[in-house]
Amino acid sequence: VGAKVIRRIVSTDHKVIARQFLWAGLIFLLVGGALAMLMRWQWAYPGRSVPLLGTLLFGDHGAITPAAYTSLFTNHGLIMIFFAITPILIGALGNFCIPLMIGARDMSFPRLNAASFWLFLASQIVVLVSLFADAAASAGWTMYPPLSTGLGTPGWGQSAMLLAIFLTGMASLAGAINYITTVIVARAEGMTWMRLPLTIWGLWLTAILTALFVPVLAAAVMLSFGDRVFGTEFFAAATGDPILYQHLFWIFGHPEVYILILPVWGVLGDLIAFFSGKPASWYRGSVYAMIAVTVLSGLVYGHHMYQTGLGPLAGKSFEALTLAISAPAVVLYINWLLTLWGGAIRLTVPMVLCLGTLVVFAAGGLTGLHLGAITTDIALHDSVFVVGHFHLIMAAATFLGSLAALSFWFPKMFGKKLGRKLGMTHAVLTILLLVGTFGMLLYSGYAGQPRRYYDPLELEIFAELRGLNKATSHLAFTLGAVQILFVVNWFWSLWRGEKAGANPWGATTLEWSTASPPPHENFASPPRVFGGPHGPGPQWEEEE
Amino acid sequence: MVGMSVFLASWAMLFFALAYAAAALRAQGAWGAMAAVTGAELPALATALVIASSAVLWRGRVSSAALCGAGFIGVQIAIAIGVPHGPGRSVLLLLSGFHGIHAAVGVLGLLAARRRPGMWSVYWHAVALAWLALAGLIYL
Repeated sequence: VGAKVIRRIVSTDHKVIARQFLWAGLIFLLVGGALAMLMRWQWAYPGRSVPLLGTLLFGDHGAITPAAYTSLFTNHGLIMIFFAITPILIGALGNFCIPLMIGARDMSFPRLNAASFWLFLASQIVVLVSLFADAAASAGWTMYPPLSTGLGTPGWGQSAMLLAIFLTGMASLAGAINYITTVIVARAEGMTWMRLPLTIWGLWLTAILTALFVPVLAAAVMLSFGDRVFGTEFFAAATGDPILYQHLFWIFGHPEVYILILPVWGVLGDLIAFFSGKPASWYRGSVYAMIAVTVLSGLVYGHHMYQTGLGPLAGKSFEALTLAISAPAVVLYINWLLTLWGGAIRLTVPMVLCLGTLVVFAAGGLTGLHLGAITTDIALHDSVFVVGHFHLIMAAATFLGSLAALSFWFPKMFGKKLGRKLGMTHAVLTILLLVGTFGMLLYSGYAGQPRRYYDPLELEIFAELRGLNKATSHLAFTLGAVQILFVVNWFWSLWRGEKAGANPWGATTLEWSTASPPPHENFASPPRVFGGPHGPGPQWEEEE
Repeated sequence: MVGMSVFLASWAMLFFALAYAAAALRAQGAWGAMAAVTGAELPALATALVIASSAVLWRGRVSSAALCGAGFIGVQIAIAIGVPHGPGRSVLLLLSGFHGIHAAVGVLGLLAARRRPGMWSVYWHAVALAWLALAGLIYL
């Protein structure tokens, strides 16, 4: 009996593993979101006790202490990036879409795939345990030494977090090896590279970046762990080099941005085409642009380090490469707009979420120019302008893109339709509130409000920003509350949702040729592919 | 085979990153050639063993290769125990230790797949190659 239960839980079916990643990621998304709400409370009402949960979480007075605040923003960042967005966008979406969209029966290494999830779950458990350490991780999500050394951040919480990041890195790596190999060797007959859906291109390039750069993060984390636990001296200021850590971290850290946004770009390309009723404009251009971004992404990390004394030559080189990356991004963007142009647009929930993603991605991308250019970055770098910029990309664009993907593939994943009315209300409100919340961060950052401070407005010159911060916080609280609509809609649709047929959207890629949800090994007979991903007809041969 | 190549390329990045860190610190004068501290004899012996191991594996002698590999790990442990305190110690223990773990996995893999080493022989040659690069960085 025991073996039977284990076999049911430890599945090697990519669709089951995708759902496991999805649940694990969604739960941590709620945790990370709750931490953000607490931070916004502190910015609106510094030192005032947190309603309802205050005394439970922060002791006597229920107010957030400076130490607690520091660990809040550290854990918010790390949890969102490594333990929420990554599993949803790459773990769940990648696992679900890749075999189905290329016409494979499963991943190339199903057992490695299962191992990837269980390793990831172990890393999540280590994170949860670290929250209850004598001192939770609190060196910021970037974990720069000397702050992250034993002197700056004592206690085992920080070390446990390093261990968790190493574990989740290994899980990502196992996944990436699987994704890369599967797309190379397991494509269906007729599925040439230039017939791959753009989603697959995005996920495949993401897997390549993961395989190349997550090991660099693993190295940085190992060295930092050694310094804290084994007394090595790699990053110690006296005998080692703290800046060396920043190089290692950002060699990984900048590709990480593209690791998270490339799948979203791919999804946008496919979904906008489906719901505009015509093939994606200049498909090859989009593919080449994504490849160009993948190559460039490894060469621009220095723009995170302008303030470390890189020297003019290195600084200027990184600036030029950073600004050059906007060229392929613009190619992608213009292609999305040209796909919409003159299309027979269907405003479904996923389509509205895609349009919202276009808005926040434009805002996030354009503010990136301010930070890629050295002269403006020097002034803006330590302000919440940076927080607004990267939240528009890393939070708003990836979140909306994930929601678009989830609401699009929900019927295929679960065999039920996701409720349209609640879904549409949630989508529109979320888009508006995301733009409001992060847009206001740009504004207060431009006014000079410093980031990461316990109470940035303590300084008299920023006192007049208090009202703005309160308003931003209330937008954020509303944004948090609106997510209840999503949760309700999700569970209601799973329980009572209308049954979805094989192809409820009338989409043209392979996964819609099989039942919803697809059977074990996906297709009744090996599919054969006859055309590009976006029609006019379906990619597969229809039965007479 | 595609999977193993992707894995090795990816894992090479981990070794590159560690070696880059060690090399950057060395360039700043934090530590120097470790042969001056440990003596050249044992490191030379270790390197000879790993080359011999790779060579006999090339000729199909899997068990002998594993034996040489085990000898290599033994010598590495002997060096690690004897290394005196100092800034170079962190680097030596980290690089040799991390590499040693991989060598141990390789020896076990070769023994387990004695009849048809297949992927394990690719892995073992990669381990040997990585050691040549690391030995140059650490000792010379």
